[in-house]
Amino acid sequence: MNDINKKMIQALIKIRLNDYYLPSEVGFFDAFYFGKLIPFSLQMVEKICHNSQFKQNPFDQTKQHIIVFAKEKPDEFILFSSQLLQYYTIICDAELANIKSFYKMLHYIEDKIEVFGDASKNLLMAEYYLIEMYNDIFSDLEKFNSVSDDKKLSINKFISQNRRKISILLARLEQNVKCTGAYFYQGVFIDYLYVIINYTQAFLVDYELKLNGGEYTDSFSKNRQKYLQECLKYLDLLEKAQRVACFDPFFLGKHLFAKFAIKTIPEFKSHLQMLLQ
Amino acid sequence: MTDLRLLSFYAIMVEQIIDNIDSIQRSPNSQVSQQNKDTEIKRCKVSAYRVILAVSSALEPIVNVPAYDSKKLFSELFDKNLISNLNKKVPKLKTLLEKLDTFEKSVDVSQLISQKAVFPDAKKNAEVFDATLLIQSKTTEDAINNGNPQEKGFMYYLNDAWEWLKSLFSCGRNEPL
Repeated sequence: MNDINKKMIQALIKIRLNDYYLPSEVGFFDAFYFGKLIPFSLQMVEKICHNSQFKQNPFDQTKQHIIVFAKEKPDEFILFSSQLLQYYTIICDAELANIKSFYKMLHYIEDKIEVFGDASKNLLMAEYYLIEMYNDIFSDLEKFNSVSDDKKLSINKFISQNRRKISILLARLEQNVKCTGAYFYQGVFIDYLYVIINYTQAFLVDYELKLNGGEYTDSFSKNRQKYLQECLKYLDLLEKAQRVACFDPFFLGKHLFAKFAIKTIPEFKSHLQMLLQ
Repeated sequence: MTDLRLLSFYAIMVEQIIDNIDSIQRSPNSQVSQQNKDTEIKRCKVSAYRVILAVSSALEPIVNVPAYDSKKLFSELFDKNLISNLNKKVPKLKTLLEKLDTFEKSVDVSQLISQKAVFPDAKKNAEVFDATLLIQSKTTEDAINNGNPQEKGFMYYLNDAWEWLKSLFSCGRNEPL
């Protein structure tokens, strides 16, 4: 690796270590280094896109969006690059790819805080965590559905504990996203994260009900409705900003719901409205 | 309340770090070399520094101190009236503050925190900051050179089980699975 890249890596890590307080290292990214930062970040995005299993815009299009963003909002681009660098580092970890449980994954990343740094304010990592949380709930339900009725009680205890942990961690993550969004980032990626947070929360309510084999009580219904309506609210915001979303670098060139089964906002909204009926 | 719950969580982390430093310091030299001890204590200091900064940011909305004025934040943190007010809300906080006080004396946290105001001036933050930067830069350089980034997607997408999921959402309303 050349010295220029090494120096940029150090400057981006310094910004992160300083809680994204930009003036600390803004002097480093003069015209020369800023010019180098754009291809450096693009190189990471390109590698992520090429490895990705999710359909995305052609990379040339993504590249143009990111270049425009960098020129129009240079300070925000530096902060984005700082988060991208940490995200890239973490998702390159070979051991991490083999961890299937969210809770184990979180412990693994936190145990390696010395090498990865604190990822709690990283918006790209927030999405990564949310997907893993959702998948954990999904796997638990699959396990629950696959065992015979007499074994359901014992498995229920185990997955109920897991659900409680996820519930606490989800609340913590929501708080982190809220703080980070207010702190340095005003883009639509935050609204997208709120959609997933609320959708996962609604899923958790249904999950609990399923485990207990019960009927909807007022409390369950109220909670579920609250999360689904919040989800709809943020979908409305995303719909209004859809054109802007294409230019948001945090999507890394992917379509809005590339990682979801539902690909469009109207489809997603109609799904939520069905759940609300 | 969320910020106060966070404080309680941080209190546990700080306690664990302090206990860790205590046990390292107490371990006989025959078992652990002095050099290893120093390295481990340095690692704990870096962790403690991060936790304390996290406490600072958690307290920020409560004590209404502008961002990055960590020195002022900490002087307010140790203000007796503030402690008394917060103690009413979070039983763990007193322990946290006592531990922070002890910790401050043992590792000179005030110096670390005052450095935060001029952070990240590497010359002034040499010991803690450079150690962290070195480790993280190395990991990142390795990832850039040889890494294979792996993203994740929502599981039902991969399993093509969306219809199943939709029916699952309806299960509590006596609709067929």
